[in-house]
Amino acid sequence: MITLENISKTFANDEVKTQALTDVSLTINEGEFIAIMGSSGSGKSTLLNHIGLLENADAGHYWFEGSDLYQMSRSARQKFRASHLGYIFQNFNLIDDLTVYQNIELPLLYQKVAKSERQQRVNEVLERLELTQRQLHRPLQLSGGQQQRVAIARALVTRPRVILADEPTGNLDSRIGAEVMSLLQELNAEGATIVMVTHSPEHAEYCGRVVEMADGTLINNSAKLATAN
Amino acid sequence: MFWHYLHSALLAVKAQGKYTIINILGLAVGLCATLILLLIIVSETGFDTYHPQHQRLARLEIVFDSMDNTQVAAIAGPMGQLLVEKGLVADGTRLTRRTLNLRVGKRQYLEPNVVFADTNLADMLHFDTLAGDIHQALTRPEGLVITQSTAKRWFGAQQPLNQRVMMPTGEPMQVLAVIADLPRNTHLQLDMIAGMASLEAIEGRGGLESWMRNDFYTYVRLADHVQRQQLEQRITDLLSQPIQQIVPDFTLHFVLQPISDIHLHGHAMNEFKVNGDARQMSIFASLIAVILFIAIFNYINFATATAGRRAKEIGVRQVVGATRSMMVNQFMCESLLLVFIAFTVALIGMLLLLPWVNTAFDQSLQFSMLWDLRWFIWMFGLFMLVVLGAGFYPALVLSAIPTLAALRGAGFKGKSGHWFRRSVLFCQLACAIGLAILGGHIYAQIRLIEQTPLGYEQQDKLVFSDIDSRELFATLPMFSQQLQRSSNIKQVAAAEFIPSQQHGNVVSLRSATQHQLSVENVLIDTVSSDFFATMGIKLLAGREFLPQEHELSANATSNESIPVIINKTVLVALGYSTAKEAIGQQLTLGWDPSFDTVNLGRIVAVVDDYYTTSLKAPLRPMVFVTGNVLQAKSQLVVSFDAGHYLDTLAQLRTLWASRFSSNFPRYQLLSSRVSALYRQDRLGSNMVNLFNLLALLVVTFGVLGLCSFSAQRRLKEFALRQLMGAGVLDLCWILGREFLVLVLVAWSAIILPTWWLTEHWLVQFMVHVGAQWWLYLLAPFLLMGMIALVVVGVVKLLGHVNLARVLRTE
Repeated sequence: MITLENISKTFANDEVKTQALTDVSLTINEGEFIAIMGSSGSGKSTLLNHIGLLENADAGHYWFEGSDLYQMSRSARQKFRASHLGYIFQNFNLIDDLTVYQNIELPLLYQKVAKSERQQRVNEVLERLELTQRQLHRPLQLSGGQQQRVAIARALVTRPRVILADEPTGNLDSRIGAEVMSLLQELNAEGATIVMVTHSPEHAEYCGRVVEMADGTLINNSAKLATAN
Repeated sequence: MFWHYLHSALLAVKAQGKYTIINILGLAVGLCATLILLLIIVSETGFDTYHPQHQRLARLEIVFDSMDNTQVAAIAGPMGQLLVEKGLVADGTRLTRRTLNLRVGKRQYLEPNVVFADTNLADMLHFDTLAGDIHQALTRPEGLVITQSTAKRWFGAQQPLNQRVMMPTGEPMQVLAVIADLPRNTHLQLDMIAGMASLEAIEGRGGLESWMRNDFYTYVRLADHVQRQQLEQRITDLLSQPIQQIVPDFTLHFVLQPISDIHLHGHAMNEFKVNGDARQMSIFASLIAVILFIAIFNYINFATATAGRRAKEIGVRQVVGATRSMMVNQFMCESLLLVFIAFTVALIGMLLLLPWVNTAFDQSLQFSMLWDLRWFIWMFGLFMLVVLGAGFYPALVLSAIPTLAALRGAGFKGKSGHWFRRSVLFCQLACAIGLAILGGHIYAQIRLIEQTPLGYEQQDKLVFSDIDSRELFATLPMFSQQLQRSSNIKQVAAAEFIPSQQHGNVVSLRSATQHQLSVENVLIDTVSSDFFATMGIKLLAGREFLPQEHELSANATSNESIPVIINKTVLVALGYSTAKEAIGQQLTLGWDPSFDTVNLGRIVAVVDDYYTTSLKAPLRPMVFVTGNVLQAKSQLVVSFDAGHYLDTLAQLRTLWASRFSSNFPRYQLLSSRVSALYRQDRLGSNMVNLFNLLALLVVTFGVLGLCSFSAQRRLKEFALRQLMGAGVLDLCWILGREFLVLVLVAWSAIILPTWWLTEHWLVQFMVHVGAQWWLYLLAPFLLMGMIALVVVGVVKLLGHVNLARVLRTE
């Protein structure tokens, strides 16, 4: 489904250059649940940002079902990202001034989905994630776990082909973290492709494959862990 | 989608809380000032556009090239008619104004605005008829048209139609039509209109048929697609011939003043009333530009400065699919909402301030003007300009923040953002300092003008205008004797032109002994004896004209010398070293520059120079004669003891009827006439300074916004500093030093341009203040003072913050 080929990325400022990714190649198949692990500064979030088209590589290719995404224009990539990829962040990244419902509805608005369909799809995910009672609340009125569920709902509402999660349990306690992981596993079981960055080996156990990184390179691309439970 | 943008904009506006209020208030103050200025401009530029086919209407004016290019708003009676007969214009109508004593019932009314007009007046100029028929009223010799307020004044609640009014001649007139009061946006001034036939009945046909009596405002309707300049040339060719047959030396030409330009560009002699000033409109337009610049950039500066607070939101929106254009739309919508709120506040402010503006600046702005289409178009244009001007740059910048940077909380940061904000603030501060210095100079100049002696005494003098010259000069000796018996009246004199009035006649002077010494364009004035004593004009040598010299001069042949009085400028030009030396010397007065028609003169006195109108006009060479009356109308000046204005007036009224056949003339205090000369300048100066102050206020709002935001952003730093013992002054310095340094930089950068602009403006005055260096020093200190107040206020507010909570939260 996704093939990254020799992706390299250097960050530079006036004083220093940092090689964030060096010739990274990675294939992600449809329906996989992949964990990217590594120490701080190893390049795992940078890799996820490349997969999510939030960064452009200095070199290499990004194939998605045969199309080279780096050949696309900026706006085409933006459209692709909005329709094919869903994001979940460690710090939830919800808009504090919007209600739960409005936060979830936001991507559909930008995709210009008709109002009735928007309502139907938002209600679906609200129900699926047991947030219906909270739909009129604002993010700051919710617990961390609930906020992350809203973020997941927002990622799901566009029915993306791939869900990208950047340390989705990083700001949650272990019990809530486990709940979120179970939810992601459920989604994977329903067919979603998920790529997740995590520090936690325990949470990595929920994934079908673990990719390990160090100093901007992949050091283990194929570790298979037993499914938790 | 629009509703989503609007909803998000509302949330953003709400989320910014007090910063939004500061931003809106700053913008609203700027917009309020702009709207008031715009309303004044719209009001001033829309004069006389309500007449049908106003684009084709013009007033024919005469310019006397050989008389110092004097332009007169009224022309001779037969001229307009001749143009129509010759087919040079499609149509034409004449108006002439008189002051008449009218009797209504048992009451007498001195009416200064009685207009006599041709019967086709209403075909060309628009009047709102409330009752009766204007055309019929002007056709019938006894017909009279009156305005609504005149009807109320004369007849109260009675029906005005068919009421009788007695002319000074005893002829009865009948009110046959009532028109609405003239709108404020017209250069015309009249309270009633009668037909030309009525004028003929009062004054005879002489005035109507005279080619030399420029007393008729003549309006013409031009043919379609006519070339105005070519037509003016053809009119000049046609109309100057009959005049030159009478006075061969006259060179003159005619101009067609478009009716809608008269108010702002018409500054000819004998205008209906004091017109507006196009230059002042340019100053107001420049002020609008500067205030808008400051207000818009406040918004931009603030929007980009607070971008960091909204970075996460921007990033999230981008991640979930917002394209750049969607983000631009989002921010533009916010700008639209903010500007709309600020506009509403500004409009309310403007409506509340309108009565005060009218009183303080002698304007006649009315609420009804807000429904004027032109105002709407300008206001909408202004609204869109502010929305786009304020919103577009922040929208572009904020929507371009890279997604990841936005998610990490980075706003419009880095060197470019910092320098951009500094540059904008620098420009705003420079504008505010420049305006303050310029405004101070304008104020100082107007004070100087008002306080500088004009060369004559203004106080306790009554001026009676437009009296028949022959009758006045003939009656004056007896009248004067009679008046001076009164203990209140000091002196009485007559003159064709008096100080405070634009002089129209010029001659050339040549020394009778040394022909190479000559002066051209010398203003000539015919005055009575005691003129200089009455006016308080200083005699440097010699004596006043004697009463008997009036008759002698009038009957003198070109070979006989007449007594003349010259002023100091002529004295110097003719090469005399002292005033005494000139006394008794012979002069040649040339009525044309080539001295084909001359009079011989003998200098009997030299007087000090005086300014004929205001200090804006230079001191002119002047020569005074007695007996050679050139103008149909002259003025009477009465000098009286201080505090006896009413007694003097009452005595004059009583004596007038016994000595003069004409009605009691229009009168005014000389000091009021002089004051009126500077009225426009004074009001303009006050307005400029008020709006400068508002500009300063808008800048202060900008600084307040940035300062409080900076304080909020650095809350933890300030909390720590306070914890370590920093006092209010230390925090003020940390927070305010950047602004103070910027004021100094802006000040040093703006000094030269301001100095150049100030000099450029001052040079138009003959007497003007020099560079007021104290203003150059005061302006930045004023601004620094305001900024210091803002900074102290913000720091004081910080003192109320719970330090422990800040440190814990951070």
